[in-house]
Amino acid sequence: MTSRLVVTPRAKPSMTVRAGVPFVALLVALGLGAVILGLTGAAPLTVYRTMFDASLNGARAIERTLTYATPLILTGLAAAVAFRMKAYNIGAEGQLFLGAIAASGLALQLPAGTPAVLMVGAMLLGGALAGALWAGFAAVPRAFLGTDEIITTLMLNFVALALMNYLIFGSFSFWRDPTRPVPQGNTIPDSAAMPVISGRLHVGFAIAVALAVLLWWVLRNTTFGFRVRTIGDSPRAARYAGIGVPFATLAVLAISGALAGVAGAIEVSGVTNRLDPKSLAIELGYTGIVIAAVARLNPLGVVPVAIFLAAIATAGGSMQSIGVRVEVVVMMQGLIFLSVTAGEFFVTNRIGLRPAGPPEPAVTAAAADALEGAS
Amino acid sequence: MAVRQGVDGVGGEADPVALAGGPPVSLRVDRISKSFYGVAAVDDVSVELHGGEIHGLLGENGAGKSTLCSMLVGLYRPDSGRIVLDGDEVHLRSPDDAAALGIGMVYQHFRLVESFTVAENIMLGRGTAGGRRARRAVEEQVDALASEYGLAVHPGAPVWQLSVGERQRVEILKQLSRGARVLILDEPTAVLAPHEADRLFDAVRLMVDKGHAVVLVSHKMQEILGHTDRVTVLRAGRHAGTGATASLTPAALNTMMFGNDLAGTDTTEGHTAQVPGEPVLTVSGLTVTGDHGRPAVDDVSLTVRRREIVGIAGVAGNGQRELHETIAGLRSPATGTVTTAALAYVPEDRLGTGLAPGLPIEHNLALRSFRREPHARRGVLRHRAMRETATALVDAFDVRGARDGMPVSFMSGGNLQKAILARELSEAHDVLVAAAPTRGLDIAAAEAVRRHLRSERDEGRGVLLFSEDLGEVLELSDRILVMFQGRLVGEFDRGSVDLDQVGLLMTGAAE
Amino acid sequence: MRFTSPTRLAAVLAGAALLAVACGSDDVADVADTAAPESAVDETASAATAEATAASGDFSDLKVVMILDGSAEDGGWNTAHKKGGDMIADSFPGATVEFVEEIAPGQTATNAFEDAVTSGADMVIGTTFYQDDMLGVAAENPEVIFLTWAGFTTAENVGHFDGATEDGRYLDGMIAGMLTESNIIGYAAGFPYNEVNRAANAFTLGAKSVNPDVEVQLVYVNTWFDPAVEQQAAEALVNAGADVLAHEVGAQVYATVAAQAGGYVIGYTNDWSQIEPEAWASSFLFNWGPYYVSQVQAMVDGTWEPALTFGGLKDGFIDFAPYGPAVTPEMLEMVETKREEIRAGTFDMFAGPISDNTGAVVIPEGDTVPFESRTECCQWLVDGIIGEIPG
Repeated sequence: MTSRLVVTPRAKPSMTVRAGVPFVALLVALGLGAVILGLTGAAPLTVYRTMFDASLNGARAIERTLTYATPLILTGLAAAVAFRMKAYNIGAEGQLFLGAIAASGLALQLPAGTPAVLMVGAMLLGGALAGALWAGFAAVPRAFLGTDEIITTLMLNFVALALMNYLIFGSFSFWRDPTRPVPQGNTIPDSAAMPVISGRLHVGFAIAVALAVLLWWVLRNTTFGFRVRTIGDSPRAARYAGIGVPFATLAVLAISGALAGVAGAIEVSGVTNRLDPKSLAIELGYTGIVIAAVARLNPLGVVPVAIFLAAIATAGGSMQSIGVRVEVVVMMQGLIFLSVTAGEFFVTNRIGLRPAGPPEPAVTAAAADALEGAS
Repeated sequence: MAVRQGVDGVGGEADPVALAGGPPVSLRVDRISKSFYGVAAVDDVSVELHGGEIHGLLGENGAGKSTLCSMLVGLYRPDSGRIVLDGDEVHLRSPDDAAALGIGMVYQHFRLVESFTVAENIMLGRGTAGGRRARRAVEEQVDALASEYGLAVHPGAPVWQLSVGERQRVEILKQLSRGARVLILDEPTAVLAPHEADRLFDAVRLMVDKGHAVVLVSHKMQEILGHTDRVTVLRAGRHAGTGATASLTPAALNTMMFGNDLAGTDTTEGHTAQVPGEPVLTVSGLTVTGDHGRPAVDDVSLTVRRREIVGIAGVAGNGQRELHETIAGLRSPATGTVTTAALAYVPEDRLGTGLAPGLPIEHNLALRSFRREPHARRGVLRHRAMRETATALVDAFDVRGARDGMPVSFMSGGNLQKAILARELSEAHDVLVAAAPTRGLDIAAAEAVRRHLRSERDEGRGVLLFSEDLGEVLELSDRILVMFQGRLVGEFDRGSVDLDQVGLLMTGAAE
Repeated sequence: MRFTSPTRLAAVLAGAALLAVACGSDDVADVADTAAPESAVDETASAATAEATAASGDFSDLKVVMILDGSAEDGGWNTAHKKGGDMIADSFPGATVEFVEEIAPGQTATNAFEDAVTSGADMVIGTTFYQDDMLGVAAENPEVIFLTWAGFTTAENVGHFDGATEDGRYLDGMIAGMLTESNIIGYAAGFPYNEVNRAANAFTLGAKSVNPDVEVQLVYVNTWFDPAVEQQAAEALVNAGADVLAHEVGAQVYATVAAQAGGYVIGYTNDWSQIEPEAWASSFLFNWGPYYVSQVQAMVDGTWEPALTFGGLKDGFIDFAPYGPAVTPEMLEMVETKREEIRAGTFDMFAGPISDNTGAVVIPEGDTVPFESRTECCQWLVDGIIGEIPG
């Protein structure tokens, strides 16, 4: 008697399933992780306690996690909106750098006495514009010549990184503080610093969440969103419906670039307070792609996924201080992230055991086995 | 792969000659069911097939024919029920499993690699290693099979050079060379010219005479009545009846297919003469480069006026697609012009051009109106208005199977076509360009489409109809243009059609 | 300074794995052993003091956390700090020393400093430019002592340290000057800032001191780590006639390219003597252990004071990898003599007159760059360098 696994999509997962599965997945991951930790000689409970304290327990921990999540939400949105239209912008990394360069440039250029609202507003706008323009270098050839944007956006990342490094390390540019022996960016004036919500958590987080909601709303409720969804599903159907595909491609890649650019501006304004290549070039853009994919390109989904990833990242650092090796930390982070995201599969699909067929004479089972063995 | 073994001990790569020795194949489907998203596509159906018979499978679109066949070739697994081959239950997990047991299918859309030769395509299907000797052996086998069954095709010819009919023969040979004893042909004549269809049925008859069982999936009642030994009819996923063809009348089949509601519908509604009005579509000197870089449309000029249906007859692949896509603005002409009044378009390619497959019905029905009131105001969509429009159109055009938020790709072909018509005809337009509008549709759905085309004309619009179904073109058109190799090679008025001449022009034989 | 990116990381990890295999696992102990007698005994960092304390007491309450921007096994910068950390553990029995790896500057670093404090650290050491990420945490935690590399803003509980690479670079330059036959030395650097330029100048001064005809071909590759770009740079230098390659950026390609060309390679805080043994010539190494031990000792004694510590040869901050087979005893003797002069303070490599490579006198006769002001130097390239500071 054989039985087999049957996978059927769930039409509408219940709330119990929605909430329960990730929780169970997390428990499974922690259980497996305990074994790994035990094998490496660490005390699992102490480690978990430390992770929890570092990322979620208390105001300071939550501030840390949300601050870390802020740029990830934005780069996640950047990827989500572009991928939604099958425009594969993997250049959020570089667009973020350009946003940071523009924002820090503006902050240093504008009079230090400029009111904070104007100053920060100008930085955000400038960052968005710079990110959009940088994406435009890939978007124009893609829209009008069909050039593969994966290659161009990727190449532009390297160019952007080289440019940012040059401005700080390779020259005495306007951005660099000439008085420091070790190359550093000029510190932006106080008026350019993002207002604080609590502790280290700055208003940039609220901006990121607001942009997620806005993007979700635009995609769902505007004719522009209608265009994007149609092109994403079928460019031919869109073309027949009179939707200008090149224009929409430009617009979407510009929005994507702008979101990444805003991420750069917010990092400068809220965290680094100067153009700091080392703390910006930590693959926030590439991580955004992972976040968008896990969130199924849904802007509202990007927010919790980014926060989750940020919590894992924040927790990871704390484990090393109590003696867990970095390799084990990375393994634990991967295990938790993979388990919970893989759990998504069980949320959207129902898995059951079903007998291969009604009870049959031995010959049938043998035949089935023969087939199984052969295939 | 190498050890795959049929249940009856016949090797997977069986020499078809072995058939002659054993008893005729028998395949029994026993109370089989399959549902998708909770909707039963096949519901408790039982059918028996025997070597030596051509078994017709008849049913409306969405009646479950494709789902049933897909289970027979291992594409889908039944939710319940059994498939019994030569007395033993079999579990088909993939088309490879089915092929190993001698069940093969020829699809409407061929699965051939264009740049490979006939022999290479056949080897590909078997997964055998390449090499010159292997290819030689396959070429010899193909030659032998081809002459045995009267399926002439040159094994060394690259597939892109072959006609549609020849490609279909390659698909059949591919299945035969893999040892298929049960062969399922899905709408095999949909793409063939009449004389090619006759040749196909000659070959099919030879196969059953040698002990194969052939399933003929079709919508064309004449075809079923003329070429099958027995018929099974499905209706709404259920088994509506099986019988010997000789004992069945068209009226009986109609009743089985549609129940009692539609039996006796007059399919040849009157064609009242109209005086055509001013031109609404003018094509002049149009040349379009095809996907292969050669001119697919070659210096075509035509005019469609109000109150007339202009039909373009021709075997598929003679530039019709490029012509209507250019008229619809999906392609750019190399030279020449298209002048059109407000245009409605029913593309050949329903999913992908006509409809965005992954999006729900209300989105698809608003594809042309989403920018305007009532569907949008100042760039903001009004979902409720869109849903209301969708509900109204679904009712008016009898679109079935649509569910809230469900991607339209889950709907059947006929309903997809109705959805496209619903959208296109509800838009203001002066001319309708319809490409293969009834292809693959069941009789009732096809007739509904034809009615729409006629009323378009009667309401004072122009219609340009592209169809591979010559009967349909003759039935509907006021003027008939024949297209061959990108050019218009003949024009006939409704009253003065010379059928033989049209057939010859379509196949290029007139030159 | 070292920065983190996964590609670089992967390569570094691969390289580190090779190193570990090649060197065996007991090299840490070796270095600790050799470091003690070799480092100069001076007023602040005394190995003797360290050994004395090692014998006394239990330090199980003591915790030091070291934060690194890359892998502790990178075979260069971070490995040197790791050895320093290990020396703390050896010198204070029972003390806990944890290493927090792969921490990029910025928010991540701030979190890491906080986490270190939360874990109960008495001292947190940051091994790259973490000053701006750390000052806030330090202000919130006055009971913990913070040290970072190359910072310049001290506080009640914050001190900084840096090493005088030029002391090592000068001696490596001598080796290069003696080894070259073409009189062309290739030198690949990352970005043109003070520390980098100063090291190149010292290297060239050392080379010219033993071989006045030598030219140093300097290229800036404008990357921290990019094996493809560095490979091109290394090959271009060889094609330009260089038979000795020196470098200041991360990839191992210089060793392989030099070996293929039959030339020599001078390392930069790394020991490649096992990787390309034939081509290997020399490299200075950082030796942070004595300084770290002295800082912990001061903390334990309650005598710790915030300071900016800039240490060279005489402070025991600079050490050397084993020399390659081409370095003859005669060469070693010359280098050894110079090393003692630098240690003793009787030789000043920056004593004027010194001209830059445009012919302008940058340090007049009788003038110099004082040791404590060296980090303010140099935005010029010394005579003998073929190349210019871009931008």
